[in-house]
Amino acid sequence: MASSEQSPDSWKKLLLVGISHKSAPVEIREKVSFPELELHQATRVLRTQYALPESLILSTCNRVEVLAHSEDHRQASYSICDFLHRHHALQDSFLEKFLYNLRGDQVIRHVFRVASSLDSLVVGEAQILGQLKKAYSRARDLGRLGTGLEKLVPQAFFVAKRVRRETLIGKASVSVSSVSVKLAERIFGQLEGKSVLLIGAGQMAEQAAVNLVRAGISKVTIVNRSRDAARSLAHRFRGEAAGFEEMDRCLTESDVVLVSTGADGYVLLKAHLEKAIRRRKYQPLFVIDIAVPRNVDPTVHEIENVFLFDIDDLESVVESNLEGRRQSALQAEEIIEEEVQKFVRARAADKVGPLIYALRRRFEETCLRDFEYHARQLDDREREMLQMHLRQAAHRLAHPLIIEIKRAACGHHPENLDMIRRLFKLEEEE
Amino acid sequence: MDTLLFYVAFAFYAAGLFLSIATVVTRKDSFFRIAIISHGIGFVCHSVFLVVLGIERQHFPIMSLRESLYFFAWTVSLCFQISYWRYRFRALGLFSLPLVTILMLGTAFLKSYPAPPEILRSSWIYLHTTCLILAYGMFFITFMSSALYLFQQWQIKSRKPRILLERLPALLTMDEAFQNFLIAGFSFMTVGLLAGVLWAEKEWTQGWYQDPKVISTFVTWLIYLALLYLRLSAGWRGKRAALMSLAGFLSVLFTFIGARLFFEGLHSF
Repeated sequence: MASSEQSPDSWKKLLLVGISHKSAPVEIREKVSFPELELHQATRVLRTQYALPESLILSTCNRVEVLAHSEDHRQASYSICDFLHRHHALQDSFLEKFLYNLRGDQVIRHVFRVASSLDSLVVGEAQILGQLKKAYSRARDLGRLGTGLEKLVPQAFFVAKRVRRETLIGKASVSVSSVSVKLAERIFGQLEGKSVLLIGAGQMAEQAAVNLVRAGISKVTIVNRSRDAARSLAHRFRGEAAGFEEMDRCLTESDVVLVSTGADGYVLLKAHLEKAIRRRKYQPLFVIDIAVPRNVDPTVHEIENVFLFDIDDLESVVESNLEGRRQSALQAEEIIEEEVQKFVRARAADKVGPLIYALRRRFEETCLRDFEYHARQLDDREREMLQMHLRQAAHRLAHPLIIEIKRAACGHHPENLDMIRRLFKLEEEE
Repeated sequence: MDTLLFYVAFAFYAAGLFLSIATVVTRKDSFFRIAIISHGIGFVCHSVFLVVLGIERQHFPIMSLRESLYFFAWTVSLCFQISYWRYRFRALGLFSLPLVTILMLGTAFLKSYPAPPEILRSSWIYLHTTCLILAYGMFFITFMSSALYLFQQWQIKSRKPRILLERLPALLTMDEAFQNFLIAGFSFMTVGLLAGVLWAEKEWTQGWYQDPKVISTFVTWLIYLALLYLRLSAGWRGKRAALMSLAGFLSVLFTFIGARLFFEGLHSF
């Protein structure tokens, strides 16, 4: 009989509760995002207090998702909801209308799409894969993955690579950073002689800064709480590092401001920018806030000649640039669908693996019965040859049955499984 | 000869106008390239037309309202061509081309004046009117630049950039066009006004400064002086600059057309 570990259709126990840029605005997302440092602790809480046997938390600027594997969907998704509310000290059911709740093959499809960057704010950007890998290895270090997730996530990496290889989705990537460059050019025209100020040394900001420099921006200034991090970045861009106390001066001198600190609240307030814009004689100032939670007071946008774009605003610009990539996206969706089916089939095959193994052994044993007696007059080479032929014959005989077993595992005449077991008197082992 | 040149110029201007409208409607850039060339040819014909007219009439053709409209249309065309080749400011075409075409068309409805009296034939008047009309053409571009700046700013602020956004130059480019045309226009206006004042002091009777056109020109000059000052010292741009240059340009229109319609004065136009 089927083992308890490989119980029927283990993929059906997958579930995912999450919130993303598609389901919630940044004001909500920033309330549920997990700072890097809290993730270990949060994962531990999920295990100890919520009794979730397997779980993985993915928290990026654009999404917070908890992936789990559980017998009882209802209970598990309720637990995850409760956990998100409690951890972030939110009112009960505050997140209700923003959370999505996926199970079974929906989870597989979703995880594949996320890994392949089809669900990203910026479709085709590659950062998400790295973030998912990090989340995966963190969960694994904590021993949070059982066979359910252990198979799904690495397969998602494989699918992402395949999508990247077989479609143009990554090539034409309209990333947040290239959108920033485009907007900067809308405002400033030539970027030569313009300068950028980085507040905080986040990875996204760094990437955007690289693109801006490539587009012609000539001066980079970095303000960071840790002077050392600022200095090492400044060194990379041949720029200048400054402390928070010099912020006012830096704002006056820069044209583009990229903000992505890990801070919980607003780092740039309206008063800061009002002062800066007066000192700049109302020269336009382009402020990009890629931090979640946001670091720039949204009312800053009301100041004349200050243009503030947060991560959601960039999305709307990205949307208008997507047309050319619809085709690639369709292709990618097809690949995803194919891979989802493959994954489901492979999991089904996992389940009947022991049965197939038992069947093969039964056929081999039958063919090789009395082999020693018949082969006693043959020399070593001939014995080897004969044995090989008999084994092959056994495999060929078993082959149509194995196909039938795999089909049955996927739901085509599942009663055949028992019939085969009965006919050949098979006993599966673990 | 001169009427033929006028019609040819007009035809090319009109073609340029229709092609630039076609660019907006069909969103095909190739139309605009033909439009700008067509307008360029029209501009050359227009220039030759002015020269021929001047030779024929034995004076620089800027003595009557009709002639001054020819010249004003020429100035706007010139400014548009400059702003296109210097700043790739194509969107201006949508406003300058209709203006030029209407101005050219408008001259056909004005009666032609007899040869101006001898007293007006002085090099002062050429300097005076030429500079002022050049300044007015530039102020038109200044006003349009600031209005489009405001529009582009509003578009970026709305965070949903649309097609037109792609067709407008960058904010700072429009700002630069605004400032340069403002400075140039103001300089021409100052020279034109000085020439007028000196000429009036020398040739005219007392009380020339009570002429309504003189007064409104001075008001216009003061508006632009204030705008230029605020622009250079306080960095005015965007909404405030657009409103002020609108005020300036309305004042120009009043000076150019209104003052003559509502009041009798020394100026024949």
